[in-house]
This record gives sequence, C-alpha cells and structure tokens, in this order.
Amino acid sequence: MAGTFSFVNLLWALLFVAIVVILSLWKDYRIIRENVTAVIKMLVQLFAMGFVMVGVVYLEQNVSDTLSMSLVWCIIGVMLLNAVITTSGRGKGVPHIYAITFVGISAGSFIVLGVLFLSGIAQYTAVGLIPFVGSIIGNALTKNSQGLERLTAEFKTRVLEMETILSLGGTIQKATTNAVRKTIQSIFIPINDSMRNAGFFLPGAAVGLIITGTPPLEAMIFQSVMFLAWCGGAILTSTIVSSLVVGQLVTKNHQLKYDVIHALSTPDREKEHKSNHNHNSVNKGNAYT
Amino acid sequence: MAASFSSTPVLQLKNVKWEVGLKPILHDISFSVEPRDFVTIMGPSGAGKSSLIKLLVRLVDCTAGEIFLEGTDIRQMNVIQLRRQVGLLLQDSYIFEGTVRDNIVYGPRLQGKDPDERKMVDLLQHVHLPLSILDQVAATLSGGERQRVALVRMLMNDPKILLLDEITSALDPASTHDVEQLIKSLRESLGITMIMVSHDVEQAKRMGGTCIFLVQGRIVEIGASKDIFTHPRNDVTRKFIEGEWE
Repeated sequence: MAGTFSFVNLLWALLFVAIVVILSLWKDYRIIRENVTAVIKMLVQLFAMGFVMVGVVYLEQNVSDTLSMSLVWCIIGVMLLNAVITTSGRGKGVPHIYAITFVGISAGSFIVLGVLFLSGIAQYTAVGLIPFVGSIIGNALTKNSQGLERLTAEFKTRVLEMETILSLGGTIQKATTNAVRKTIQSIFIPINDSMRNAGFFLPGAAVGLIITGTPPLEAMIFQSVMFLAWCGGAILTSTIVSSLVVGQLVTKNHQLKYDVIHALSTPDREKEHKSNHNHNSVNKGNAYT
Repeated sequence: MAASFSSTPVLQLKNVKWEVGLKPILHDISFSVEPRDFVTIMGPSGAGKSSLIKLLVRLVDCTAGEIFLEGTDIRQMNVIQLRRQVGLLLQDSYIFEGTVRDNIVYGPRLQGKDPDERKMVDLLQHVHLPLSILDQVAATLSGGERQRVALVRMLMNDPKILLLDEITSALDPASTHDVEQLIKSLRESLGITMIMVSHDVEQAKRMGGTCIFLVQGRIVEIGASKDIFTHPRNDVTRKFIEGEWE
C-alpha cells in the first residue's frame, strides 16, 4: 500500500472547490451554490457510509454474521430508495414512476449482482457486498436518470412522427421505436466512450485497487469486470424502465395518451428555462435577451 | 350526401361525445358521409375539428356514442386495419429520414408487402411529381412537395376515406392553390370519399361539397357548401363567414 490518507489530504483537495468558486465568480458561471451543495452532500454521505461500514466490520468480527448482514441489507435498501427517489424526478408526469424505477433499478442491479456472485467475482460477505452493490446501483441510478430525461423529451418532441406511423397503420411498438432507440443510444454513448478510452486513463476502481497494493493486472481484470457489469446493468435497467414508461404513455389500442405526454416535464430544461427567465428579468438590457 | 342517414353510408357518427378529463371537447356529434362525398369540417380555432378527425381513426376514442365505417362499429374493428382504410393526412406532414421512395413505400412495408411500383408511378403522376423525385433526399423537399409526398404515401395504403387535417395551413397561397387542385382532381379520378378540416372560409367555398360547421364542439350548421355560404341559417355561421366571429 502506497500510504495512508488523512483529513489533511482532504483539506488540500478542498482547494479544488475553491478553484471552482473563484472561476465561477470571475466568469459568472453561476455554479457555486449547486457545486458547494453537492460537495457538502458528498462528504456527509461518504463519511456516514464510512462509519456504517466500520460498524459492519465490527459486527462481523465481534458479534455475529447475521447481524452484520442484516445491517448490510438495510444499507442496500437505503441505497435503492435513494436511487428511486433521485431518478424518479427525471420522469415527472409519468404515472407510477416510483414503482417503475424501483422495479427497473432493482431488477437490473440484482441480476448483474447475481451473475457477479455466481461467477465468484464478488463474495457474499458484509464487506464484500456493499462496494459492489453501491457501484452497480450507483451506475443504474445515473443511467436511469439520463434515460428517463431523454425518453420523456423524445416522447414530447416525436408526437407528430408517432401519429404519422400510427396513421399509416403502424403498431404502437413501431411508432415508439425511435424514441426508445434514441434513449438507449444516448445512455450508451458515455459508457462506450469510457470503455474506448480505458487504459489511456485509469478508472476509479482500478486506481483504488492499485494504490491499496493490488497487483496492476488484477486491478485491470477487476476494472474490466466492472465495466462489463455496468454495461449489463445499464441495458437491463434502461430496457425495463423504458418498456414500463412507454406502457404508461400509450394504450393497448395503439394510441398515444396525449394528456399524459403533454403533462411530461423535462426537469433540467425547465430549470434552465426558469433560470434564464429570472436572469433575463434582472438583466433587461442584456443583448442576448 | 352528408347530414342525412341513408342505408349505406361509408361513415356514420351517432351522438358522439369526447371529453378530456371532465372537460367536454365534442358534444353529441351526428352525421353520415356517403361514398365519394366531399365534406369540409369548418369552424374557428378550438372548435374541436382536429379532435373529431382523430376520433375517426381512433387516435383517441370517443367517450360516448358510436362511429361506424361501412356499418361496422370502429371499436369492433382491428385498429391497425381501420387506419389503413381511413387515411389521415396531418397539418404538418412528417417526412421520415431517407429518400422520397423510402417515405412512399412506408405504408406497404409496415404491412410486410412489396410496394406496387406501378401504383407508385401512377400516384406520382396524379400529384404532378416527376419520377426523378423518388431518389431525392426527403429532407430537401419544399412544403408543397412534402404534402404531395405525404399524400402519395397515404394513398399507397388504398384508403376508402381520406381525412385531410388543415393540410394547406402551413403553405403559401400558390402551393395552397396547387394542393386544392390536386385534391379536386384526385376526388374525380380516384373517387375517394374525403373529409377535410379547414378554418379558411374561402377555401371551403372553393372546395364545394358538404360543409359541417362546428363551434365549441357542437355542430351548429350542416348542408351543401353553396347553401351555407350564400344563406347561412345560423347566426354564428353567418358571423364566421363574414369574418365577425372572434
């Protein structure tokens, strides 16, 4: 192992937040509040998880495996709940969105985890479970958020295309194919980019293993497995979620649910629009308004 | 003729209502259309004209009443088959990626059929488009050409009824005139029953046939265009024709 880490290292790393703040103030990026909030949330959550894992290890070594595993499953439940609540906001307006994301993320993540455990890559122990589950659910969370936002936007912008296909005697599956296809493609762009460039940079899992003393080739095997697991989790979660979401936006009679589609919102764009609107209201003399 | 219930209307609506949530959009709509009829559905914005058209191809379902196609309740029909028999041309024609040919053969391909080349050539001649346009990238078409290509694409399905939803509203006057002439010639040469939605009084006068006047989701007047435009019986119709309706 290369060395131990202390809070002094963390304080040095906070210099990067200072850089964000200074540049944002100088260039008027307006990202300070969002970034600082995210940093604080990240620190609180990571240390909370760190303390919980210390407790899990203590229970495993000093009390009982059953108790430590129970605690681990409680942690997994919290992770899942957080993922569902976070990503469901991206599908605002879709009926039963919480149930849909719960089913999609759970099924996608646990199928992948099942394969990892069956193949012996992951160990079914308290300490072995949390990092894998955390990574797989975390990946499902980001891909699901991205997918939901894209899918709702695709549906809102493709009404005419879908109506045209239906009017020509196409099925609802045919009419919605492009919206779903574009969504899945958009999810895979960053995944494929990361894999294409892996090696030219070292991803987080490999970095962590190498600096804690794992032989480099083993670290690369582990990193490759994680990339492939993320691919599997992404396709399973996004396929399940998109199928269930589409099911809420169409009828079995090959019709679009116009009222539901019109009520869909795309959170980021709305936020951006609101922010632009406020900005424009203040700066009425701005040349861009 | 529309407005009368005969023994074999191609299309018949009986007491059709449509509500979105609790908001009524169409109230108690009844009329019938005979084979080869040309019907214009007129009315101000928000009258429910496009909603009525969507009901006829079950893009939405009516909340009450019945719609019959050649005597069969359309809810008893396979919805895909219904949409192949009742062709809908929308206000802004969506053109798929690829060439004009890709667009024209879209309907037959959806059915897993090889497109009939001879029919394609005939239809292109009908709409006054050169055969060379088949290999043109569809995205490069002008507004008028897009509507013609969309019309040919729909006619490749051999519909019994053509629904035209404000198809000239986005076109310039010259293209509007061309499309109107085209519709008239298709009506004469192919003998297809047509229902056209329009809010343009002058266009409805030019197209003739039967006129159904719709206001706030209700039929306020129905009859031969020439009669309605010369002697409107309803005060709302008269105001709309004279441009006084807000």
